[in-house]
Amino acid sequence: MVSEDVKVGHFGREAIVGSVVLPGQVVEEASSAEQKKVTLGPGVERVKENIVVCNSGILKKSEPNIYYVDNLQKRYTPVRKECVIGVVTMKAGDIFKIDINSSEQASLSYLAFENVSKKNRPRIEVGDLVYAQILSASKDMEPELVCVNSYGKQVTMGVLPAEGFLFQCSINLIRKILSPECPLLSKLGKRIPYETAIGMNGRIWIKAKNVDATLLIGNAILASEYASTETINEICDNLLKKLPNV
Amino acid sequence: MDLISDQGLRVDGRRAGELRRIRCKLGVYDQPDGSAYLEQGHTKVLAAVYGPHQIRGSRTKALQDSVVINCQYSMATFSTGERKKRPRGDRRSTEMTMLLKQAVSAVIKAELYPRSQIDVFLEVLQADGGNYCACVNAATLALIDAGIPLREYVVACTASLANGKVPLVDISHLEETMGGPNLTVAALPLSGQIAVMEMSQRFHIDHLEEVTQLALQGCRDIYKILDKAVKEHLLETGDFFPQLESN
Amino acid sequence: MKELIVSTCEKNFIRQAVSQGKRLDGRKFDDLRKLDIKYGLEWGSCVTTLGSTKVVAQVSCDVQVPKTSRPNEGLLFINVELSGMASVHFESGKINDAEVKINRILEKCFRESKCIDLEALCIVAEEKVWNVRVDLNILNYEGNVVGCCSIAALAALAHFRHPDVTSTGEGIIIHSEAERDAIPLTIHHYPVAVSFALFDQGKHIIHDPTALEEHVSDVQLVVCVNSYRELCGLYLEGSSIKTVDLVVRCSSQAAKIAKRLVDYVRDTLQEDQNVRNSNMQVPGLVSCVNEDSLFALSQERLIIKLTDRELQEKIKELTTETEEKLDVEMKDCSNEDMKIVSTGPSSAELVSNLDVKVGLGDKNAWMVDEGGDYSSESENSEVELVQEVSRHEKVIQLELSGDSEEEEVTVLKPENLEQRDLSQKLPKKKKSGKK
Repeated sequence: MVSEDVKVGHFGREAIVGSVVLPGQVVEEASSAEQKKVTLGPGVERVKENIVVCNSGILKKSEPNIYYVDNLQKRYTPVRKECVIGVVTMKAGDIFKIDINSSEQASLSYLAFENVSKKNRPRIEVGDLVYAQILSASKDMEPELVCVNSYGKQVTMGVLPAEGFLFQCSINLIRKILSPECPLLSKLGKRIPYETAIGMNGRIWIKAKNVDATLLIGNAILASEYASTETINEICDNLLKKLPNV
Repeated sequence: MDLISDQGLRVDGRRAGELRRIRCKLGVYDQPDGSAYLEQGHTKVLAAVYGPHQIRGSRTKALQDSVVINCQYSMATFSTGERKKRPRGDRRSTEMTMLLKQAVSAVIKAELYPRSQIDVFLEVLQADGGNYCACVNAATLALIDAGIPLREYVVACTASLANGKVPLVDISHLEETMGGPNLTVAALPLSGQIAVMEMSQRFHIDHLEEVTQLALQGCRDIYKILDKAVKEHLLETGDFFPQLESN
Repeated sequence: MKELIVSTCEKNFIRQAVSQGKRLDGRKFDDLRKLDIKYGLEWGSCVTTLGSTKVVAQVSCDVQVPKTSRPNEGLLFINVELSGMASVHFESGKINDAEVKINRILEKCFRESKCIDLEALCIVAEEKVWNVRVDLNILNYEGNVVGCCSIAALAALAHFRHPDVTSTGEGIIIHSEAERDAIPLTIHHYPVAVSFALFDQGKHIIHDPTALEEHVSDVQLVVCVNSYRELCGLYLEGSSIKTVDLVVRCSSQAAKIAKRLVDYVRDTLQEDQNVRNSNMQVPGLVSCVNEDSLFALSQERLIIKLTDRELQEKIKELTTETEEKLDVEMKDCSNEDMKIVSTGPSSAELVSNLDVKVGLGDKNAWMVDEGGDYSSESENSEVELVQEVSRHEKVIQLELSGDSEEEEVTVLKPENLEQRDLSQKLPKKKKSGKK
């Protein structure tokens, strides 16, 4: 069960920072008049004079006065500047239609790559994987992707090679393993050489020497969904010990 | 009533390995791009092919690199003993449609016509067992008549097991309903590949091989008959032009 | 029906793995996923879970006029619902191809193969017969739905009882459960549908494919067999296959698998019967929903698993242990940890990622393999474990005493072994008021 540090038992009207919150609870400390500027992150919303929670999860606060809710989610909501992995579903004229596991398919212009021009198109087929950055994401329009940064360089983005494996996981797992404290990826990398692309939309692409290694890494990532940092270390150690020939 | 008598004769007087009489004609209508009429015993079916033409309906159904094949299987209300209330749309017809589509997709060279559609319509005028097979055979003929490039003929045939030991080929409606098992195979006769295989009722696994082989043999025999009919049709229609020139 | 979007990369990987003899979830080619059948309170209802695929079956009956062509026989109708609930690419309302296919296969498997004695369902010839209706609802579509549905339908039909009926001169009296016991259906044979996915012109044959494997395979073959090795139905789909030989081979394999499945169904039926006879509280379908944990119905999200079963157990152990010690720390935010950028008035972006330590409930005992001893698949290490235990217990018997061997056998069954381990780690919860 959840330890005492998290106040769970109270599900009244007030939402307490650091505890599990339900939609409809009001964040009192943010609504009070002393704060000059309050920034609302994902999961909290302003309704008249109050700040109301809309997603259930753990309410967190960062300095200065930024409130957000950390919730479990499988479907992705596009956010600008995040890098995602998409699957090309259609080629329509000047753009590619890409599925990024969100409410709408995104569009990627064929000119949004390095070293392409109208005569020299990029080599992309339906069914390929692309690692792209979200250029614009508004709720009124379909999201737009680009494979170049603002200097026109492709850097790490672009079409992913057809080898390797893609699998889906929840959004919070992605955030967890990308966090600097999470030792998972680096620990695995010290023993097994692998290439990976991690999309913020819940998709992970892995390529290692052979099928076994790929499955091992994927397994380790998926198994660390509910594990703390120490457990992750143990999981890695066990996995790597048991299969030394990989 | 025994499905096969002591002398080895079936209910309609055929032997165990004999097919019913097949008569067919190509090019019976002028509206469709290709059409055919086929009789297999008492089962009579009509096939009409339209295409390849532009995708009807929504553009999103279009496939990037292959043609969309649209089949429709319908039984006329007067085709069965009791008047059929729904000619199409019930479960059995939908299943037949799916199986037909699979058989036809196995032979059409789909990559030649991306973003287009080919329609195949089948109408059963009289149903006396082996409806699916007659439909597949008629569809092949109609596709040939429409001039659509095919890998091969796709031919279908049924087979069954009488009294638990004697395999029969090309079963009629009476033999179907009398409770014997029923194996339908749609195959490409020259290369020996099987496109569709479907079975109902029950028989022991050990008999599966011989019944399937008999059905495949039936397919090969039907292929010879259909091929002969196509050649005759081509001779008739092909001779038209030399006659003009000689005039 | 929207198509499942599968990238070329996934297709290539699965094909490559299959050609090396591996599957994503670590099974062998002919291993079944974990099969679980739970019966409800009412006669004829059950929930069947095969890995992640879930199907609910319910059998009901009413009195109707028989068909004119068969006036002495009852009626059997099977209906499968495959709606948008099962997977995002099925539209509710419109009949889609997959639904028709499953319906037809089940009809062939049960109705046309005459597995139920319909003449016994006749009440008054030409006027009144029982119309037995099997309704199946697919809750989660994750491959091999046909197999799961057929097992569910079989279990439900075998479990079902219809009310007793007596005919007076003018009409009939249907007795309720209180007056007279309900009568079970007469089942001649037990058919199940076994599905295969064939890769590479039939070189690799996979049994019980997941949705992704089905989508990537060349040919999908469904074989309906009963425990007497009789074929009840066959259905081949996909690109053409070269030889008849392949189909025959698959059929013999299917016969073996079918026997195991039918034995398993019989065992669960027997167990349910025992529970009802012993006047214990019949748990019904409530046991599917365990109120003690948050994750009662969620399945593991591990779609890929390693073959080393001990390794899997170890990982499970580790995550189970530490969940109790998990605490949610409210990260006292220092600037380098979180890069939440404010993009305008009242909005911010969670650009970077904090270490999310979420407090969770315990891992439910239901999820960890407590049902492992009922599963019909043979995973090697599990089989070895059982053997070791029995060998051990035999030694004890010889040394101590030779009486009541069977009692001692039950003490050392693997389920007890596992439960003992679990109870050390998880706090035992009092189960309150199960219906």
